[in-house]
Amino acid sequence: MMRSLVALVFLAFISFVVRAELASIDDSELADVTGQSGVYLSGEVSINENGGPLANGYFGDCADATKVCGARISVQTEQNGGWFVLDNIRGSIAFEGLTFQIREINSGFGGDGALFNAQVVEIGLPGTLRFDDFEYTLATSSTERPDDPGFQQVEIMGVEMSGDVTLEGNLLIFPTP
Amino acid sequence: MVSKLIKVMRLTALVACFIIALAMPAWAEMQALDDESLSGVSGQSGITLDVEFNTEVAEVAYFEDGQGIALQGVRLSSALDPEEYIEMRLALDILDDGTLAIAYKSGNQGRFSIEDIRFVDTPGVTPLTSDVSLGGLFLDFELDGLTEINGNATEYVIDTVFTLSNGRFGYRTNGNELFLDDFTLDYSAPGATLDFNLATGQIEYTSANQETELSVEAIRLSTNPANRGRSTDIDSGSTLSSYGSFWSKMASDLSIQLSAGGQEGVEGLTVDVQSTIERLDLAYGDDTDWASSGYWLGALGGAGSVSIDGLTIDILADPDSAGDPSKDNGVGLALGLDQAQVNLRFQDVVLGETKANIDAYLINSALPVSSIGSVEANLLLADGLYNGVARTNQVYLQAGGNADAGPQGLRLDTQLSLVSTNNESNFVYVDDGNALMLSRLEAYADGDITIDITAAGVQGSTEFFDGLRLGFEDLDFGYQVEGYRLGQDTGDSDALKTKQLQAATAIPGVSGGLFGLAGFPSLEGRLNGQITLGPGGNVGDEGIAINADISLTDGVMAKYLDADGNGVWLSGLNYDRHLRDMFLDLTNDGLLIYETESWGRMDVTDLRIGNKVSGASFGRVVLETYEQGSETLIVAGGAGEVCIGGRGVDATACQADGGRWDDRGGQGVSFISTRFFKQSVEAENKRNRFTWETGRIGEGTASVQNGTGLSLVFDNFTTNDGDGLNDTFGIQTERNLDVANAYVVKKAAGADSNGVVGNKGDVKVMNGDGSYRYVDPAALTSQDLNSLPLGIAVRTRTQFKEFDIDSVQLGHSSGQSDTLIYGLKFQNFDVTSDITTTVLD
Repeated sequence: MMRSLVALVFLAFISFVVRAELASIDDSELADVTGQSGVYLSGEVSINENGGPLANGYFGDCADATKVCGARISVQTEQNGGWFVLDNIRGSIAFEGLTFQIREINSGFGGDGALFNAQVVEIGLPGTLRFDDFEYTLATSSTERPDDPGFQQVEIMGVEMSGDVTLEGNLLIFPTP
Repeated sequence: MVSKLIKVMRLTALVACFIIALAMPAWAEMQALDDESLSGVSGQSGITLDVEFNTEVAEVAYFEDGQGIALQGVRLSSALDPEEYIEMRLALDILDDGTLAIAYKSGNQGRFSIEDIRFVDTPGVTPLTSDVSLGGLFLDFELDGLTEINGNATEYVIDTVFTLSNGRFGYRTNGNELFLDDFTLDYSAPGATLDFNLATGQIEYTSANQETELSVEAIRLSTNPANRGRSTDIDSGSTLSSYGSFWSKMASDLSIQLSAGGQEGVEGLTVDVQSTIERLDLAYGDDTDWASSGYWLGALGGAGSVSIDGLTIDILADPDSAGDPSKDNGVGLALGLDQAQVNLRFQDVVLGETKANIDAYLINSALPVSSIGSVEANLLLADGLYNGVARTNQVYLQAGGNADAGPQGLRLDTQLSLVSTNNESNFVYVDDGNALMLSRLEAYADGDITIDITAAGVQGSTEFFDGLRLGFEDLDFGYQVEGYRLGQDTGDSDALKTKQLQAATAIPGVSGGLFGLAGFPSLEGRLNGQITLGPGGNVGDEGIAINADISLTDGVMAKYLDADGNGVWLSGLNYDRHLRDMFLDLTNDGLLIYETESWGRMDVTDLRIGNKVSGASFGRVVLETYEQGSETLIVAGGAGEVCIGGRGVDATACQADGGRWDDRGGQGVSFISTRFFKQSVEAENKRNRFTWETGRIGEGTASVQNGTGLSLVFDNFTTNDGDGLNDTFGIQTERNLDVANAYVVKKAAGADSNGVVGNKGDVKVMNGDGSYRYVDPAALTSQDLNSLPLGIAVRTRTQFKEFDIDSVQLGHSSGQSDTLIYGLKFQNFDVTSDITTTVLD
């Protein structure tokens, strides 16, 4: 139960202020969508490409194999308990054609669109995401900081991604307070 | 009879001309008269008068329609000692062609002062010191100049050239003074004409080639009532604190028409003005020696025009006296306006330059300067509708200022209406030849603004700070743009008006400027509070110190705004921000803003999507922040050369790594900030917290009740150096902002929303006529790559050692809350993003 809550909170934090409902929609439903404004975004995001600003017994330069140069997020779900950790987060993601616009949904969705009858945020997925040495490690830790006394960390799994990922379609975010 | 009338009118016009010439707004470059002119002023056949004045007049009043404005305690004397005489030599001569030549030269520094400016209904009544007034003015000067007056059949022709040196001009309220210290004004206006036009009934003044130059050594503040027009404090002997230096130079032509009769009653004045500004340079210096020491902010290479139609001047009762007596602040000087249009463009806005470099650039514009680019403002003030409500332009200058500040001060009962029916009002920024227009800017304001010179302390229920205090009392305001238009700069902003309209977005670094109020696609609300601008910075002796308490209520702000009016809206916005000792300094790098302490709260009743009133809501969000020692450096220059989607130090290496090399030029602007989020001080309502609330009573209605729903609270977020103890690194962010090429890839085969056909993966390329086409990326030529569409490019690098959130709590409608997370830490982050935003086809 607590882990579910943690996952929920994590997702909420990542999306920060938006609450989203993900739904796939087919072309006929898209035909009900009106409005041509919006913005087109292209660019990239890179994390700790050359390491971060911390230099201590745990964090350091990427050229130093004994140190971690990626970023770290740690979460404590129980008072005085251990920490869930995403560690050594680094790499870059490049994209062309992420779009953002406001859409009106007033039909489709099996009749729910007519009931909703309001505007939503549409994020047009960019088609291709290019991952370049993107990696992170999922772990648990005994202390809040990795240079604290008594620090112990158990690494559960590591993820590394390089190459292109195809993402097509739209992400619709429905405001439903 | 008619001839006599004309003569009287011409004499009146001559006197008016003299007043205009002497009081002419200032800045001038001394222009030498030719030898032929000077030869006439020989003193051989004229009169030379050595005069000494020490004149004190209790009251000079102007009455119209039964109400008067009175200059009280008017005095002309020596500046050094008001009991002594001002000395002046006047040489009057009649030249061979009948020209009257008046040469004037000061023998010492004189002072013209007005103790109080009050509105009266009866002349000559001795005022009480507690009677409200606009405050006092003083002007110190040494004059050296020549005015020649000739006449022809239709008009007077007036040549004027003078230098006002050793100048000091100040405004004084309640014993506190703000003044320009040690300024020099050079002014020349050869060939100006003055006439009474019998056909129109107007007095007409024209000056086709006037030049002005103003150099202000210091702008000082005194809070010692014993000081009167002194550069040093009379008690301590120390030099009074200075905001910095100011310099400007202008070449322009000017036409003014004066008509009898105002907007109400049978008396009053109506003024029409037309001016073409051929050249205008403005600069503000900080800790400068006017050469190679100290740094300046400059707006250089300005040109444009100003026209004012139907500016009426009357003395009228407060219009609230009838409908809302609680806001009746008495009789005031009422300025009405039919229409005013300003079109002004500065070729370069420079940051952190020495005066020597600016002077060199003004001689040779090919010399490099730290320029963010060009800026252009086009503004049309006229009656109009804002959101369907009729707005107008009318300002009442009333006496008193802030009620707690004392009886002297200035209150502006203000109504402003900026219209843009045909995109007459807009703002243009040009970066390396790429132009961004904030299109169809509309705005209004309606409420009171008070102006006082104040000293630190608490009076009544109000805390005051040292400086020029701008107070806002129930000032309703709003502004909005229809979107952005981007295109190559041609020097003619009208060309941008035909470019494709792009949705407006909040621009990082720009939006939220000016105390969180400026730079959004749209913002409306009611403003209360104050901003006090004091002297002295954080670097060196000069600079600007700001203390402010701003409150925006019943607001609505757009973070994103479509052309059709849909957007992302912060509705039901209540926002307050407090600044203590925020210092502005100009340094070698640019404009440095240091915030000793700042805190604020942004409470958004509904985060809406779509329509700002009826759009669906994500619920309520509240962001509270508390910072100490944060600073921002604004630097000329954007991202420069960047590699997107790859790595490489040059184009070849970047492309070899699969990236796209982008040269964004030398102009642009960067915002380099360091923010320190501190532990909460609950007793003072200073904290860092983010709250999201949904499921409130009345959700989805206009009467939703905040605090009755389910809330998610990220409480007490702070920064530290990764040790939980020290906080010297903070969150460091560098944002580079450019208007640059955008690489737009077609996402689907076929026709886009504008009917332009292309294949999936094709790249959008602009044609010369503003249309565009799609090109296979393999077939892109270098010319194509130079013709990519333009976008707003923002490169951001954010670093922090540790960012902590103490807890994440789930609050229930009952008031109870559960802790979901007992600690959340982000460590060792160095994130770079490079995002270009452009129009969606």
